[in-house]
Amino acid sequence: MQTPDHPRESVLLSALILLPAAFCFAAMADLPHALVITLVLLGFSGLRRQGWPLSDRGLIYTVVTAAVLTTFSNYLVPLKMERFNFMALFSRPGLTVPFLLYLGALAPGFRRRSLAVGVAGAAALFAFTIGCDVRFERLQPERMQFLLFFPVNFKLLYALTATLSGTGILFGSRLCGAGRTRQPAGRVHIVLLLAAFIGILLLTIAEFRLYHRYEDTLRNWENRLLRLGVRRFYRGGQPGILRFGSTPNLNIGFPPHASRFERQVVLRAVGTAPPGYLRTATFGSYHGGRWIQPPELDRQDTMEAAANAPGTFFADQLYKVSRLEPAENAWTFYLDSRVRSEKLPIPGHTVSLRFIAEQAAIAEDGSIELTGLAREGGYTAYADTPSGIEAYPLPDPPPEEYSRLPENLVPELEKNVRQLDLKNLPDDSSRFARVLAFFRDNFEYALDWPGTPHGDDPVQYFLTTRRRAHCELFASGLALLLRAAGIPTRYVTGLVCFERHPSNRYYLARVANSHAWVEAFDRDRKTWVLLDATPASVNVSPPLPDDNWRNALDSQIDSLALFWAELIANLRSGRVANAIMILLIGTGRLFGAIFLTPVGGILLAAALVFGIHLELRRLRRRRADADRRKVQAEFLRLCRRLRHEKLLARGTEPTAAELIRQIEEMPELPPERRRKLLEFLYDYLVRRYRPRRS
Amino acid sequence: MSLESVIQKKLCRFLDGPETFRLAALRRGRRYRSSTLALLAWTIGMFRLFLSPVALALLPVVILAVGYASIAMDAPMRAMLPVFLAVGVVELVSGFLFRPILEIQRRLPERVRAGSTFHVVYQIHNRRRRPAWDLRADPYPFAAGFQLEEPAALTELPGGAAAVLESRITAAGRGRYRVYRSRVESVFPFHLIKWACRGPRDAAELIVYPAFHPLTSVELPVGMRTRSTGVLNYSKVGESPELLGVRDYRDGDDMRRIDWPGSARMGNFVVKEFEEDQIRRVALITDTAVSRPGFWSLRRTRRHFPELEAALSLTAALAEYFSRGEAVVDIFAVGPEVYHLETGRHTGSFDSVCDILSGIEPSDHPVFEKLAPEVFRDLSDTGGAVVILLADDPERRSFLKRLQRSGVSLRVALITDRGAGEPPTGWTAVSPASILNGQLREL
Repeated sequence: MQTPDHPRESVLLSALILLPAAFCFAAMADLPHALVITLVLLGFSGLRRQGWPLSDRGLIYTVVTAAVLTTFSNYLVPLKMERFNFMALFSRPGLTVPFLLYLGALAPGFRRRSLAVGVAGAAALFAFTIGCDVRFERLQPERMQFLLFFPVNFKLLYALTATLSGTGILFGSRLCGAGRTRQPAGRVHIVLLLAAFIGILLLTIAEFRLYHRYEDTLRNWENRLLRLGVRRFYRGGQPGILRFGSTPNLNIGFPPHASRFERQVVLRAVGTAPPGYLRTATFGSYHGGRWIQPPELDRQDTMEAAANAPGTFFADQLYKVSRLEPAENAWTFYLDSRVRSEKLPIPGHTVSLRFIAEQAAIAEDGSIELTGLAREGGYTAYADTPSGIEAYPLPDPPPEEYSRLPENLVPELEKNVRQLDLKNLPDDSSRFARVLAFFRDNFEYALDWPGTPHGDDPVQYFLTTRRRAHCELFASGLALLLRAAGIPTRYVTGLVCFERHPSNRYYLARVANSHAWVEAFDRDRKTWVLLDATPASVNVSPPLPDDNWRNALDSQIDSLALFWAELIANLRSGRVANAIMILLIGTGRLFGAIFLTPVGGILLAAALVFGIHLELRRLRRRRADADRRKVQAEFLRLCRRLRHEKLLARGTEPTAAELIRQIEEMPELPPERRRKLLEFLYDYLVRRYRPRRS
Repeated sequence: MSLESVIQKKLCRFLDGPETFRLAALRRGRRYRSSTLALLAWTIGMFRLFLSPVALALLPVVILAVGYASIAMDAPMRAMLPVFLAVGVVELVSGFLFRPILEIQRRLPERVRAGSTFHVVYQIHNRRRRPAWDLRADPYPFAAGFQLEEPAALTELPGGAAAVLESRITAAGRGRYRVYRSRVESVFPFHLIKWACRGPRDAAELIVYPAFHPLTSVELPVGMRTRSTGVLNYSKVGESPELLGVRDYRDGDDMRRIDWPGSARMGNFVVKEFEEDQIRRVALITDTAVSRPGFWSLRRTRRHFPELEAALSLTAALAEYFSRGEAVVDIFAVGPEVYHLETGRHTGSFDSVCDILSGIEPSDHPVFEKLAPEVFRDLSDTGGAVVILLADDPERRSFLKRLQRSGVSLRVALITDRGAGEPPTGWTAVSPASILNGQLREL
């Protein structure tokens, strides 16, 4: 066991390592309390001259203290996850980083230099790794307001603090090893140390230069390796689960597993006309291959209906654009359980909605967000026209965000605008037509987008090089080209629902119908217009499924699924009478569907008859078995009587045949008795073992 | 040597764990030793050989950072990977260039007493022309019971030069310790990666005696009292022995000594006791059975059993006391095998007794059933017995009763900290602290 080191030197070393990391994390995550608590704990560690004993109890108390402080502070001042990149979902920087920082601040209390430097160094590195994996474009200080007074370049801050901490680690580590000797370091020794330090600097610079030179190759290799599996999860590619509204990232490849589930039905719409393009989410800003929603959407919570049940809110006609009264055209939508979204896919020209939810909010761009949606209740959208190709008519005028272009793409986009001569066209309608024709004639639809080579922008790569991609790239290219021509646009994601079910009762949308398109503002007509640059044959007029028994069976099963969804929805909505009617009608239809088919009906009837026959036979057998059991009971009674009369030895269990032999050989038995017994036994044999009638 | 025995030997060596990183749970003599713990110990031991404590703490985070940066390709952490690489390369290259190649000779005492401070001397000679920097000899503790007061360290050893280093260590607890082969490490330049040079195969065993404080007087019943010097009365050869009295016959007694009239009167055999039959032999029986909850058995080490340490310390003190005199002392103890040692009459075998006492382990099971055959084998010459008990239970009492029936005069010392009421008559309750602190000087 080592004796404690110098009383407070370990505290100073830990402070040198931890405080820069704590400051950097506090600034990046906007959690000033992390820095304050670290400072306080460092002070606490230095209070007692001899420190604390290094024992199990001391270690446990330290860990518990750090954990409690972390939990409480995270509860009081939670972390804003939108500042971080996606890995924060797993690494939980709001909990892990402060915990380690506090642990590092308490470790010097044990007065073991190696322990203090080691734990502090590990905590600092962890803070720089996990705690500073942020989106630099979203780092507005809110709680650490003093940072606003200084033009904070977060990258520079990161570099400076990391350098300080790293130097502290090396210095502290050096002291751990050399500090125990009484002999001071000689001149040569110091020179060699300095040379080593300078060597580190030079080597680092050389490595950075090499990295920059070969960065593209390195990243492409990394991408290839990661594509083996990790990226699929990042894409939200949980098999069979469809998520709406997640941020589109055009940099990464099209998930290969998606084609396996493309036929899965995700939405059913009951109505007289196909609902068409169903909007789920809209995006205004494009940056580095991603479409981003602005951090603060202009939302209004519109609550106008009466609450019917305690604990839930039954919202009736909650959403209004122009009026409250229901319009003529209505669609009732039933989402499949595989759809995970709080955003409702609705037609762009919806004027009112009916749904069951706890809370509803409508954004400026027309997307609806619900909290506590009762999915089994379905929802109904009302519109003035049956057309399924309508854009959401607001906002008018469009905000500036819908016209912004990323600077790196401006030259390329303007070149395309010039080539298409968009600016010289008379009106926006003709511009729309020209651009749509451009995509139709020069680009190809495919689902094999491989991801973007490093350093390129995906839209630029699509427009200039590849020219073959899926709907997201078509929509992005269209949106940005039109913006370059001065037309405000927004990027919209959702579902396309045109496929009619063979029963002609409703419409289907499948996984393959998830789509992206554009809504552009026609400056001449002052209206928003829906534009779809993806080749028309793909989504709007989907090919009818082949007419074979498999697809027919799928259709029947799907229609059962709708029947069930309608039943539950009506029950959930309190429309019991409706539900009963649906049940009866549905059952009738089911039987009709089964029995009115040429083959199915006969087969089922035969199966029914056969089943009845089997059941009757089983009943007969049960009766026969009951008789046999009665007979057997009689025989056993007889055996018991004979044993009681001592005509049969105790403990013997003869069969009927053996008993017959024994009785024939019993001299003491009166002949009359013998005769009756034998008669009974022969009769028993017949009744017990007679063959069953088939 | 057959293959099976080779495998057994290797497995045993594996289960012992590395020399430089010992876990109490891997101690020999345990009924079950965990191979998982052994693997863990070997892994930590191997890492500790090459990485300093700071580097060990940083390593998992560096691995995490590298993995993280390869997935999160936009993370700012990626900028630190070149720094890690640069530090690693410089540390490796510098360390390799100035790695120590030394001749090492270590002088280590064979035996020390618990609680005492001893020196370990290293003579090192640099066989290279390049200097060696930041050297430290035997950086790992010999065992958990040792406290390093001053390490043997040197900042610079010029090429071809020699130096003598000395470390001061306090042995806290008794035991027999296997000291690993001598080793000198260099942690130049940043104390992250170690470069070591090992000495010749000089792994040694260090025996730490139990600490004890000499007793000034020990009282045994049956009228016998020894003087403070511990010399017992002893009749000289050639003189007529004085009749002291009669006592019950014991197995092994000379048939010619039977007092027939007395036996007729008493109804059982009695023998005459002469002066020369005074206590020539004293039995010193030490209880080593301690109860320990199974859950903690892996973690508990000797320092967690102060009663046992006190018992062994008292045993050593009593053995030393009696060995000054003319009596022969038979020491019986279990830990784990049965030990029966003989000392006394200035035989000089007290060292052997201490060697054995240093290696005694606490016993999980009652010890007297193991000791009884050995103790009762030949009690004819044993006049008195000092029994040191760690607890009072029916089994122990029945052993004592059997001893008493054998005619041996008894002195019982019960080592206990708990105020569990008055001990039986003739027993002496002693606290472990009073023994270990040296407060107990008379018994």
